[in-house]
Amino acid sequence: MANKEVAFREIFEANSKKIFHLCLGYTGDSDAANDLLQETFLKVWQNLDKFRNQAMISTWIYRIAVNTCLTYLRSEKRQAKDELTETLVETRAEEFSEKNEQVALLYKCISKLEESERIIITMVLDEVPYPEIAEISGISEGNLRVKIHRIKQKLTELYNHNERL
Amino acid sequence: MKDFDHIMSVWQEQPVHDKLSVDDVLKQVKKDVSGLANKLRWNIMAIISILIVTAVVMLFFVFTLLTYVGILIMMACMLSYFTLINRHYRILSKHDATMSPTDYLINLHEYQKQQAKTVGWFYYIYVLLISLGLSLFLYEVLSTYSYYGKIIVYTAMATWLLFCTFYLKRRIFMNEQEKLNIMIDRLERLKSQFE
Repeated sequence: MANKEVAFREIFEANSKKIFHLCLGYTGDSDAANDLLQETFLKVWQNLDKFRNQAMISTWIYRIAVNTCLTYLRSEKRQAKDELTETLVETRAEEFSEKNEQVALLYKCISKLEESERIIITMVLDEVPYPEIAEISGISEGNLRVKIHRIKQKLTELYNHNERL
Repeated sequence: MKDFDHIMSVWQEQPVHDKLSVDDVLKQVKKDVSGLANKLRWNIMAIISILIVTAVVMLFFVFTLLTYVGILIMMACMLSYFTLINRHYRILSKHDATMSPTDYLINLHEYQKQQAKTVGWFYYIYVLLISLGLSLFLYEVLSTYSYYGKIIVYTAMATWLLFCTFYLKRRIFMNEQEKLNIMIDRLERLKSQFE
């Protein structure tokens, strides 16, 4: 139990930042991202004994996080809150620096992508190697490269379009 | 006109978010794990209590055959309800969250579809059997009641079951069904995205 706790702490410290980015990119809301982060690490804890080093630990955790994100249903309360998010993002962006405004705009553009695209591009932005993304998403590497190329184009167009607005 | 490298730099320079600390997550994880175990424990205790109470009632009170049949039917209903709930938790907890998203979504989609079907017909069978069991049980219990007394009890029972079927079921049960249907539609859409 103590060993498991030590291993869990190490895994959390090493991976939680990227997993949080994935969850935030997927939901566009930091509270929901925290819920998903917690749910992911609950599953990590429950499955830790089954991890047999057959894959990299980060790949294994990413898979859990992706599956957790995909089956996440927003609660009614959260949905009502999400309707306000856009306004809040705009207000916050005015309050803070230009950099924060750009980050808010980027998250807004990511939220306009399809679910699988949001997941893939978040990993690309966090510089996860392509073979690892292919393994996490279960998409062949060739197919993935084509997908990533399209998503990059789509996101860049969305970003430029929204920035002009 | 910004290119993807600019987007990449925006992403990488984003401020650090207030994410949860490892201690908070660990505390919550342990709480959730013990919460699930407690729920399962309470369900098992409830089943055992029902069995004990029924055995005591059947052993120490002498009823007619109809009453025994009524008690047994009600017991079978309750047992099947608890079995269904436990089966649901067991299957959900056995879903391997580490498999590829496509396989995970296919598995979950199949399960949710089956669950939506099961939940739909289970309620009607449950209500039908529990009504039959109660009627048989009350037949002897109410034998000393006056004619009007019997009418009042049976009417109250029928009203309660109708209230559950046409009001409570819509409020609680249908809400669950709706969530299941949303999830099924979503899983169908998502499956195609990972092909």
